[in-house]
This record gives sequence, C-alpha cells and structure tokens, in this order.
Amino acid sequence: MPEYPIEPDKLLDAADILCPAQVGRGRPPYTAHRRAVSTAYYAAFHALTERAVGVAFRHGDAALRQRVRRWVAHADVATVCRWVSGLQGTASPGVPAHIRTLLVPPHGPSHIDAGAAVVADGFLELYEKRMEADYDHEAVFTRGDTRATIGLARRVVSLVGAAASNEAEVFFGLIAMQAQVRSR
Amino acid sequence: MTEEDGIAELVEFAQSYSSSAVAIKQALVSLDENQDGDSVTRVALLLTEPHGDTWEVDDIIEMRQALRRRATELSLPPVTLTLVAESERDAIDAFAQ
Repeated sequence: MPEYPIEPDKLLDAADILCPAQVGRGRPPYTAHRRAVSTAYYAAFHALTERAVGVAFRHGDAALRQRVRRWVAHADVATVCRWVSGLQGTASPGVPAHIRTLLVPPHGPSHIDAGAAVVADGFLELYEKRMEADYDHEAVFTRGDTRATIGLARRVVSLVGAAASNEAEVFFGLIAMQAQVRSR
Repeated sequence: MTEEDGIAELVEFAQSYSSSAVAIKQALVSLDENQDGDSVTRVALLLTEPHGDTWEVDDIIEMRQALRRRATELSLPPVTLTLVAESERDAIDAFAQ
C-alpha cells in the first residue's frame, strides 16, 4: 500500500523550489515567497511533532506514531518554546513558577541546553512568520528574508533531528505532555 | 519607561548592532498583534547585501537573539524580524507605511 507521509526534508525542498537560491532579474514572486515561508514553518513543526511523539511512544509502531502526531497542536509547541525562550531571556519572562522550577531548578543543573534554546527561538520566529505569510496582507516577504527563513527552518529541522541529550528529551517530552488526546 | 521609549531604545540598539558579518543600515520597529491576538514587536532591518542568496544562518540567529533579549529587557513583546537587503530596499518603505 503506498504511503505519503509528511517529511520535513521534502517540505524544505519544496520551499527551495518556491524561492530558489538562484534567480534571474525581475519582480520577485511574492506569493511564492509566502508559500515558501509557510512551507518552511511546517517542516520545523512536523520535525518537532515527530520527536515529541517519539519520546512519548518510544516503542510505538510507525502507524501509531503518525496518528498520534495529529494530536500535537501548533500552540502546544509554541507554549513550550515560549517557556524555554522566557527562561533564556529572549522572550517575555511570563514563565509559570512550576515550569521555571522544573526546568531551571534553584539547586541543580538546568534542563535547557543550547540546542533547545536555538530550536525554541527559531520555532517562535517561524511560527510568527507563518502567521504573517498566511494571514497578513500587509506583510512583506523579500527574497533575502524568505531565503533566511528557509535557512532557519533547515537549521531547526537539523537540530531537532540530531538532538540526543537529556535536555532535548525533556524539551520534546514537554511538547508531548502539552498535547491532548483527540478524536482525529 | 513608555512603549515609545522602549521602541526608540530598541531602534538605537539595532542600529548600533554590529558583527563581523552583518551590518544594520536602518531599523524600523512597531508594535502589533498577531493572528493569535498576542502582542509582537515587528522589526524590519535594512542590511548590507548578503554575499550569496541570503545571510549566514548563524549570524542571523545571533542577531535575532540579541534583539529578542534587548526587547525583553525593555519590556517589549517578542520580536519578529523582516530582513531587507539593500538591493530590495523598496520593501523597507512598504514596512514603514
């Protein structure tokens, strides 16, 4: 039976097609830039859901994991990323006290590593850019900015795929814990 | 500090930001609300032309983190960037409108 999974690397390739590295002269295809930004965001989002569900269902088969990945909402990922960024000082410090104590214990090592911090900041940037791309008629997507956004998504996907630390497991696990069991 | 003061300080910080790879020629900052209804600080930066199709990922990550950290210190909402190369500088005028 054929399968058509959502693959982050393939989404990044699609973003590259929509806004290629090499182009000729002429007016930039702004609509294609919007779709490239949105597609790049989804690459990062699906890379994160794959790891989050992998932490929660370590021995689940591929079909189970694919189904459960649909339960992870965009806001679930964004919430955890805001906690991490807030604790790193790169977002508003409105981190719940129990999350602060959990991730940065007053008398123990931090559970946030540099990779998670870059992924969190990167995801939040992509999350905002995707909303602009999909909904904001006044947003401007230059070629350089669109290429930079694709580059950021590629970096986030790479870091997410390679992350193997205990801190990374905490990060992915928290995303899984934010998700709710759904009927879909 | 008022929001206007914070915005002015963030503009000043951005325009004085320098790294070996990226130079900011102009910065425009405005407060807005995103599709979720959350406040955001939109920052448009006119940058020196990249060597290739865009700027190095690590340089932009470093610059973004510096701006996000400064915005947090100034009690401004999270920063989202729009990068504009000098060859596309018409776009920065669109942002300013």
